[in-house]
Amino acid sequence: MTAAALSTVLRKEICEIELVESDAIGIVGVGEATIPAIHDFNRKIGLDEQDFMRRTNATFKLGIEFVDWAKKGDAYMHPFGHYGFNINGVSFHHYWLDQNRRGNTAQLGEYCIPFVAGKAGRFALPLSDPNSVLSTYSYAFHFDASLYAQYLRHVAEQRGVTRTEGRIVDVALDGEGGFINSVRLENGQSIAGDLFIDCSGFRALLIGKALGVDYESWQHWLPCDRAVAVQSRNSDTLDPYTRATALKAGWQWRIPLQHRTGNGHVYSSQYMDDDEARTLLLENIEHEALAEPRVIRFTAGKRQRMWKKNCIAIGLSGGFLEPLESTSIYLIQAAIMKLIERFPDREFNAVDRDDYNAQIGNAFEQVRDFIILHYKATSRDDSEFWRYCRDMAVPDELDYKMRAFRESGRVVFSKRELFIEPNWISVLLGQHVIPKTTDLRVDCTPADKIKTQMARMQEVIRRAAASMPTHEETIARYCPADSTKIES
Amino acid sequence: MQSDVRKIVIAGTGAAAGAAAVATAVSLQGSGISITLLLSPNSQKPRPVEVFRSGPLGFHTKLGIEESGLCRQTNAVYGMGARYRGLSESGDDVFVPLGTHGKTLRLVDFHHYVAKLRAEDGAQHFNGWSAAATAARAGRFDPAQADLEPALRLLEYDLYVDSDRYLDAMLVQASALGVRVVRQTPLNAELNAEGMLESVTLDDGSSLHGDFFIDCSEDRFLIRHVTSDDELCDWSSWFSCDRLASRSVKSQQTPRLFTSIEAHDSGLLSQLSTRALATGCFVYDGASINDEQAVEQLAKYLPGAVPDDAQTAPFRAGRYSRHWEMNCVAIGSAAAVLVPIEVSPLQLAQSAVLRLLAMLPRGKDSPMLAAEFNRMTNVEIDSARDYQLLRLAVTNRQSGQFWQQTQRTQWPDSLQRRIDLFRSHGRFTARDHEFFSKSNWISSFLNFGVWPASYDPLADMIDEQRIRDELIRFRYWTLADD
Repeated sequence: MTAAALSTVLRKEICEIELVESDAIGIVGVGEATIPAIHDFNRKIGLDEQDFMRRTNATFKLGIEFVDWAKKGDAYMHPFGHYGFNINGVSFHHYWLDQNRRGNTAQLGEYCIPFVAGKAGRFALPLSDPNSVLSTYSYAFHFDASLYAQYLRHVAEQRGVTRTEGRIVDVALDGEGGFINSVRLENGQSIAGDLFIDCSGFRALLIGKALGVDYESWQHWLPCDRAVAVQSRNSDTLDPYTRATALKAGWQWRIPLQHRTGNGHVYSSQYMDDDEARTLLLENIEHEALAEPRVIRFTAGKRQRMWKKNCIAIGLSGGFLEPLESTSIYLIQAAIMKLIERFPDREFNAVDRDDYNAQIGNAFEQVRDFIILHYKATSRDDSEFWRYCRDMAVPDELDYKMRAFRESGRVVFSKRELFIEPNWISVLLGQHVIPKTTDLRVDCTPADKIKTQMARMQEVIRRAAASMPTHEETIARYCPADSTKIES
Repeated sequence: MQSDVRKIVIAGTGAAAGAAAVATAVSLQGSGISITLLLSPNSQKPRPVEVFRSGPLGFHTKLGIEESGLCRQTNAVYGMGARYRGLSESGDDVFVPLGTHGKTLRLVDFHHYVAKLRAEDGAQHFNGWSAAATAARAGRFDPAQADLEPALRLLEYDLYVDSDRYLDAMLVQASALGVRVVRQTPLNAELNAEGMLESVTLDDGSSLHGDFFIDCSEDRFLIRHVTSDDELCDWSSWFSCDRLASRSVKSQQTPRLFTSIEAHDSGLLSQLSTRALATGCFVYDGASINDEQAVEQLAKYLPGAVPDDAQTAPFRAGRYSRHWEMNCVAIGSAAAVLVPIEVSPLQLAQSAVLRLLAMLPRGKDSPMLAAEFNRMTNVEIDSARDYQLLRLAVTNRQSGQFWQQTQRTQWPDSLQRRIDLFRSHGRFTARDHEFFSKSNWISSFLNFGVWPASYDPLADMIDEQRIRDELIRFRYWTLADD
């Protein structure tokens, strides 16, 4: 991703990019789910959406369904769209809560087009006409991560990035400053550079091994440390959303691609062993497994500094958060975009570097808190794991957000966060964090008038969703898989 | 759901209270909550001219109040920014316009291209790309005028209005919205057993009951009864002026579309005018110039027929830390005293009341909402303070004791970090709830001559000729109005 993005903004005559990769080293991604922020990235690097979707077996995604999280038998969706419409400048959920207390039993999701369409297996690209309800949602993708990596490598190479095949065995630092001079490959070749971007995954060859930046663990908040993943045969229909089902000591994802379904069970090795995790995964997949399950180990957390000297860690070398909210690609993308904003010259100014570290650190913490909320706000007590999560102390900022929401129904958030009001509302209400009060301004409109307005919204949304083609129809027309090998 | 808040009392002396009453009434229309505006005579002379943000992003537009009528009623003049004189040793004027300069090209902020051009061609006048600066120069601005380049449209400007007339206009609006206006002097406030404000005793012996109070007074009349922390966080180590002289005259010439600010050996003078009135103030260091001399200075700076005598008063810049306590919220002058340049107490009050209205509680006491409101308000005020101090931090004026001391000042860390970050590569990181935008900051840096040591390396990645073409195109547009 980094090479593709940088190659679109850096002119070759002025700044050369060399990508050092080894085919012998597999990549972690197993089937990747994304969030709508990816459109920004794709637009900035000039990706052709249809082409990229065809080449990566991609499907559309309208949200994430969470099953059994707050309690067993529960399900809610974090959809990529707003709930209802603001009335007199007040967020819709206040009216919904008020009506709910008055006995209106409609679910919050019924006022949200991606929820209604998603559950019905329907998908159409949003319209740009702001007057249409069909413009009030967004979407993301599910795709094959290995194919996506290949695709971006191809884009990067077309734009003049040199790719060198080989495994890095040594890193040479300059004596005084401790900056990286060059990396040496297995075949003895040495590659020099001014700026090194460490995308070496969990091994963190440059930022960790060579420059000694420590890893900060968040395991006490996010105890899951393993995933076992397997692909399975598809169902007849393709749900346009990711599903995350809570299990005894973690949760299981289901990501439908065009040709197969990606599944994975994320769990805590402290509360469950690998065999049990594998068995549980296989029991829970809907169709036949297509390979042997693979176990991946990780520690939730991040590098203390993402940028040190002339090295910037992007991707797993910089940090890892479980894919519960599909944020892995987003965090990579945020790091790349910030790097472009703070692009260094040979002086590697400390002020710019510190600002970069502060901002990317912040992005990780915001996503971390959002994920922790799913574990913390639960009434499950059917296992040690869930009891631990329910009782654990959470980061101060998350605690503040949860208390503020309970007390007032307000989402206190910063405009510069990835997850904003509708995202937090989905998960807070979905996890049964219920406010004691609603916005005072709800009283400005008589309740029966609101009831009528809400019924109309519900009807408009139901009709709009019903007018959409099915997910399969849209894919067949827009981006059917093209398995021709990407030439590199 | 029932609300414990049935009656809101807004107390103050002038424009801020009027604006707060209108905003509250608009926002709570239909809720059955009653709103009373307690308007008391000001013990000091009120500011004759008020300043606030206008336009599509301004206070009135956000409330759905049409501004062109207001402009006529209040002798309004559009404000495009501030002109500084005498802050630099070179003697050049500095104009800091509102709004933006140029626009982002290929993920790189516009000012980096100007910095690149400067590295290659020498001096650049950043305001060549500002629509507000052009309007200020031309002395003409019409917000309704069609835009040649929508992306460069000026969306941010001020209004300078006659305070009395503005208050009158607000009172008319408030009454039409059902606000009860009580003109009395408050004598005392009664608390209930939990320490919450219950009522205000008035000078006719009656008492005004309320469930929730908004304090827009100049002397923190309400909030000081309930707060446990009535200490001003003092900013005198950064801004040592401790006296303020003010004076107003009849507007003589065609009013300028900006505020003039002039450095004096002992402080700062400023003036601005509406179509009827010109007002000036002098904030100075009482140790180096006495009141009489100050008044004389001010009269020289702002000559003309004087309807009122000049006044002098003590001045102390700073803010309080808890604006919302129990069932009372202090806004505007009751929350902070800012250096009188580029931000007015009314502006702060308007911004605070909009924030408050989105957070009004149902229960009288709401500690989480109060904490959040206080946090956001303090970020806003401190950041506005840094914005003002930036002007002092980057000046090289040596003449006068006040300025020599300024040269030795250690500025707040938050400001110093921003200066360092900008000086390095022209970068700026905006925060939430800030009163001044990234564009305002960048405009301030560059117009005050703080050019980055080097620009964004990515500005080299676009074809050189294309940059020049774009820059010329944008500049052509902004000059077209001349």
